[in-house]
Amino acid sequence: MSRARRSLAGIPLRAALPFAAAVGALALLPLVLDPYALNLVTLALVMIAGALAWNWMGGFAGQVSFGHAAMFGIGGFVAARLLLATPLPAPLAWLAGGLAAGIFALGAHPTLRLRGPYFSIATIGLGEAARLVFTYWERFTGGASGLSLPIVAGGKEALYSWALALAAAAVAASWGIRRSRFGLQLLAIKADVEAAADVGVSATLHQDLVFALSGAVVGIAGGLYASYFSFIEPNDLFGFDRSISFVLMCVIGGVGTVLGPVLGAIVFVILHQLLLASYPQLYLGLYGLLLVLIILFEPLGISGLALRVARRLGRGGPPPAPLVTSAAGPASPPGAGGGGRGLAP
Amino acid sequence: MPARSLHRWSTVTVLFLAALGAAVACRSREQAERKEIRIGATLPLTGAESRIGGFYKEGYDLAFEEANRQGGLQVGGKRLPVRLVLLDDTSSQATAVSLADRLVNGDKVDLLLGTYASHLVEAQSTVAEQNKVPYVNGGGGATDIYRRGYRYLFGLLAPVELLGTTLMGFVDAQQQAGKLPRPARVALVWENTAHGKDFRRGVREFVAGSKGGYEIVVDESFELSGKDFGALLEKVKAARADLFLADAHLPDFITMHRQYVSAGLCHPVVSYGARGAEKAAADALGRENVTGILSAVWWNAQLARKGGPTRAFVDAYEARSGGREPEWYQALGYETARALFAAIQQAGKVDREAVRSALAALKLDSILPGGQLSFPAGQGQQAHYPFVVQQNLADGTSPIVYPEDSATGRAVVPNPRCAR
Repeated sequence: MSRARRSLAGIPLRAALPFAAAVGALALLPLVLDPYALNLVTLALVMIAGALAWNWMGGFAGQVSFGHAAMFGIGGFVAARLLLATPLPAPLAWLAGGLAAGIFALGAHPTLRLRGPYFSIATIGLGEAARLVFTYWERFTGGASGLSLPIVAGGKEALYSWALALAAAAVAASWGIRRSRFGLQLLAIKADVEAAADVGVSATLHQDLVFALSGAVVGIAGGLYASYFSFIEPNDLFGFDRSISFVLMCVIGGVGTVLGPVLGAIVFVILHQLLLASYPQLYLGLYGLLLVLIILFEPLGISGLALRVARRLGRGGPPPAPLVTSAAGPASPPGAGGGGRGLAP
Repeated sequence: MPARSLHRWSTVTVLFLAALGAAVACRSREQAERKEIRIGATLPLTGAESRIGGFYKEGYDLAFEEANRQGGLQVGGKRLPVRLVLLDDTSSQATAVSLADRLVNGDKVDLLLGTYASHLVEAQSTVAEQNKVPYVNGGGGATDIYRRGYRYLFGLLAPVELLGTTLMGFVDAQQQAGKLPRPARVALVWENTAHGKDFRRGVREFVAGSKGGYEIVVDESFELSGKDFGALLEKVKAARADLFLADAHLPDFITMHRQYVSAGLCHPVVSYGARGAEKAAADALGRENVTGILSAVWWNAQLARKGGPTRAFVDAYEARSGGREPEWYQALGYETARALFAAIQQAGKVDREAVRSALAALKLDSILPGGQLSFPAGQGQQAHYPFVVQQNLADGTSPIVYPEDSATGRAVVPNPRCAR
C-alpha cells in the first residue's frame, strides 16, 4: 500500500501530482487570459514539445542536430496539405505530419554514422537541402508564397488544448525515456559510443530510434504550428533560424534535462515576442549573449542556475537529481559528445 | 530528491505562468473611453524590403497628418484623432503574422492597414481574417491573395496579372510598329511567389492569344531575395531572346540587373515588372545602366498633370519631403490609409463590421489611374484599374509611354543602351 502511494504506474506520486496540478492549472488558463496571451502560451507549448523532442537527440544521445527544422517543416506541410485536401480531423493530420517527419528522420540514417561536430555539420546540410527542395516544390508548399490554411472560427482555443496535450505528453515522454533502460542506453552512447557498444548497446539502432521519435514529435509540433498560424511558408518552417531555436531553447533551459527545454522554450518565446515589436533585430543578439554566458558560467542553463541557488539556500540537498540533470554528464555542453568532460564548472 | 525537485520546479512554473496570465488579464481590462481611433500596421522597415517599407511609411504618415490636421475623422457627430500604431515586420512573414496578432489582441487596435509585398500581405491577412478585423493593404498585388474568399481583406494594388498583360500590350504596339521582330523571342523570369506566378500568367496568356507573335524561349523562376542569378542569366544569354521580362522586387531587381549588366547582356526590351524607375535603383546601378528599362506601375507622379486629388497629393508630398517627387509606393501607402479613413467616416462609427461593409461599398475619388477606387466583390475585393508603362530615359526622366491617353513621352524601342 505504501509502495502504491509512492508510485503510480512507475512514477512517484510526489512527481506525478505536481505535474498533474501544473497541467490542470494550464488547462484553466483560457478562462483568465486574453486572446493575445493565450496565443503566446499556445506558441510556447508547441515550442516546448519541439524543444523536448530535440533534447532526446541532442541532450540524451549527445547528437546535436542543427537540422530539426526539416522535420518541423515536413510535419507542418504534410499536415497543411492534408487539411487542405481532405476532410481529415486536424489531430489526425498532425499525426500524419509527425509520421512523415519521423520517416524522413529515419531516411537521414547515414548522418548518424558521424559523431559530435561532424554530425552537427551534416544536419546543417540536411536542413538546408530540405529547405531548398521544399521551397522549389511549389505544388506541395506553394513555393516562397507558402500556403494558407482554412480559418476555423474559435479554432485557437481548441488549438491551445491540443498544444497543452502535446507538451504534457512530451514532458511525460522525456521523463519516461530518461528513467528507462532505453534512456540509460542513450546516455551511455553519449558518454562513450565505443564503450557502449562493448556492453551491447547498438549506437546505430538507438540513434535511429531516437532520431525518428524526435523527428516525429517535432513534426507533430510543426503541424500544430501550421494550424496555429493558418499560414506557413518554407523559409519560416525549414529556416536555419528554426533549427537554431530548438538548440537555443535547450541550451538556455538546460541541455540533457527534462525541465530545461520547458523553461528554455518559455523564456525563448516570451523574449522573442517582447523584443519583436520594439527591437526586432535585437533578439538574436540577446540569445547569442545568453548562449555565451550560459556556456561560460552555467552549462546546465536556467535549471542548473536554479539548482545552484537552491543549494546555496541550503535546500538543494545532494547533487542534482536525474529528473533535472543528465547522469552521463550534467555539465555536458551541446556538441561535446563526451558527456561531462566539457565545460563543467 | 527527484520528487522534491520536481515539486519545486512545478510550483515555480505554475506561479510564473499564473503571474503572466494575471498581468496580461489585468491589462486587457483597461478599457478607456474612446478618445482616438487606433489603427495598427506593420511595414518592412528593416530587412530586404526596408527601402520600400520606408516609402510606404511616408505615405501613411502624410495621410494621418492630413486627417489629424482637420481635427481627425468625423465619427458619430464628432471628430476623433486617428493614431497609427506602426511596427517593423523586418520583411519576414512569420514576424508580420506575429505582430499583427499582437496589434489586434495585445495592443487592441481598432483596424488594420497592410504591410508591403504580396508574400507578407498573404501571410498577415490570415490574422485579420481570424480576428474579423478589416485589413486594407496597398502592398499585395498577387491575385492568389484575394482568391481565398476572405471577407475582411481589401487590396488597392490592381492584379499583377494585369501588369504582365499591360506590359505585353505595350510590346505588341511596338511590334506592330515594326520596332520588334515577329515572332519575338521572350525570356520570362519570375520570382517563385504568388506575385511572380501572376506576372507569368499574364504574359503567358497574352502570348497564347497572340497567334504566333511571340515565342517563350526561357521560362524560369528564382528564389526571392536571391544573391546569385548567374546560372539563370546564362540561360537567358544562350536563348538569344528579344524581350527580357522579369518580375522582381526591388532588392532582387538591383542584384539581378547588376549581374545582367556585368554579363554583357542587353535586350531590345528589358523590364523587371513594376521595378526599374526607382531613384534607389539608379543610385545603386548608375543611371546609364538603367536607361531603357520599362516598368508597368500602379501610379506615376505625372498623372498629377490632370489636377484633382493626384495634384493635391503630389504637392503635399513634395512640400513635406523637401521637393522630392513621390513614387508609386508612397502614393499607394497614402491612398490605402485614405481609403480606410473614408470607410470609417462613411460607416459613422469605429465598429469593425460597419467599417467592413463601408469598405465593400466604397466608391472613392482616387489618385490612382482611372480616378475611382472600389473593391469589387467579384474580384475578391481587389481594386481593378489600368497600369501605366514608364521608361527610363537617358536624361534621367521616366515618362509614361503607355497607354496613349496617359502618355507623357515617347518610348524608345529597341533599348537605346544596346546601341552603345
